[in-house]
Amino acid sequence: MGFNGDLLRRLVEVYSPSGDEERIANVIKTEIIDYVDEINVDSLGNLIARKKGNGKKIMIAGHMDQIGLMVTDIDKEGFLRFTNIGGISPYVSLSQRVIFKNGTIGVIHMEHTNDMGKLKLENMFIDIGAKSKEDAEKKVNIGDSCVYLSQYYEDDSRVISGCLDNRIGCYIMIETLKKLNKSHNDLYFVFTVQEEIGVRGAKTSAYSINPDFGIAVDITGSGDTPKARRFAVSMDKGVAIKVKDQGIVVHPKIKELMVDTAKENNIDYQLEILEYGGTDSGAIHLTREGVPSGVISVPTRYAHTPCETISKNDVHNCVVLLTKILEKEIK
Amino acid sequence: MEELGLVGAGPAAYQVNPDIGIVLEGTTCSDVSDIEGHMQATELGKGPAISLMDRTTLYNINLRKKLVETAEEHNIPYQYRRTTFGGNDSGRIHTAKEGSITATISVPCRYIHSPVSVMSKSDYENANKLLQLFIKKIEEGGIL
Repeated sequence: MGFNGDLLRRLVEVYSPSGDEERIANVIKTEIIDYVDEINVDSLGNLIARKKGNGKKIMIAGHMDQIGLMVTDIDKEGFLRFTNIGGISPYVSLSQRVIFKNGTIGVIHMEHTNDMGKLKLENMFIDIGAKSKEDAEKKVNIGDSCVYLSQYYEDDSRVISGCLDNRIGCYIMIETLKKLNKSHNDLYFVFTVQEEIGVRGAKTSAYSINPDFGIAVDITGSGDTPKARRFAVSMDKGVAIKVKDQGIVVHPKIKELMVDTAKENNIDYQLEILEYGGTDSGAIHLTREGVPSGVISVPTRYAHTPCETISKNDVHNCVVLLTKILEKEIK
Repeated sequence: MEELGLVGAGPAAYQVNPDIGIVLEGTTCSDVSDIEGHMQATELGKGPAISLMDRTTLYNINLRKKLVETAEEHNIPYQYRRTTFGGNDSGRIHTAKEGSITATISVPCRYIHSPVSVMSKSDYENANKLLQLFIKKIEEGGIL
């Protein structure tokens, strides 16, 4: 199948929370530079790579930022207080290890409570082993961010890792760029910033590109674990073609294009209606006079945890589907 | 119409199309009663507050560090805004058109959004000083 586990592991291990995406942008740039005609970084940090063509302008967007925590205060004993960058659950965070940009490792824990049901981030702290505020400030300052520390695991069928949201989207875009034969279309592969805090990078990059169509590549959830919230998407059952989420109702023609292409090429797919969450497509489709947009999603168990889990088959199908769509002459 | 949802800033930023935006605000100061240190947002008299993040913006790290540098170089007292509730015009400014970078300098105000809001004159004067010196620093170049 040709799953490039080495590339995916390298992508998920790069520190780049929302607002500080320079490192992952540099890694991705190195991967794609031989496959594109132009590469730019805009004022917010979006990495925009163009593969020129004469047909319609298509913006393919996948966010490179990850969720994290930002230090807001340091107490006199050297414990760090923090706020969330993106969707962070206090329960997922309890007892996790975190890593800062400079490699400092911390542990997230909580103030004593008798009521676990009311646990909030403001009652939690990060312990970096400092003895005092001054000691802590040698390694970490207010305003510094950290991300969950996780371990990449891969077997024949699955990958388990933190940060698959959305380095797997970046992986799919990179692999598609490498496999793509000549495309009629004018393709903009945009590795966006700050998706996790409000699809901000997609908004400004879509304005500047002004595409005819948009395709976002991101994770989605899954409804196939015990007593899961009802959701008709399962891991290992194929590419999730988005119909609707909190940010977008996908244009029927885009949905049709994706489903038809999947059927023509015998690619396993499932239709996705997500009752929570959104992706970059939410911002892209409302740009200027409007941009018909859709999403190719990777079904993911345990999203926004250090143990996000995906099927390698699903990823392969996403690459094939995206490649086949972009090779078509889209009208 | 910031208080109604950052209404005015968007069209203004669309027209001006800035490279850098600096937002000036009054912000929450809950250094009274029994609010814990890290939830107080700011403290009166400790200097203008520099924002890290709020509901509408994650402030550009490089620009924020240059602002702090300016304060430290000129011995202007400053503090960080330690909570992330609320938002301001920066939310609309930095996402207008192709995007830009922003920073927010706030004067701490006790009892904000009430008829008896209280600020410290020295915080106000230091905010003013910091703004002017920061503009000079930006003009010296090297930030963008």
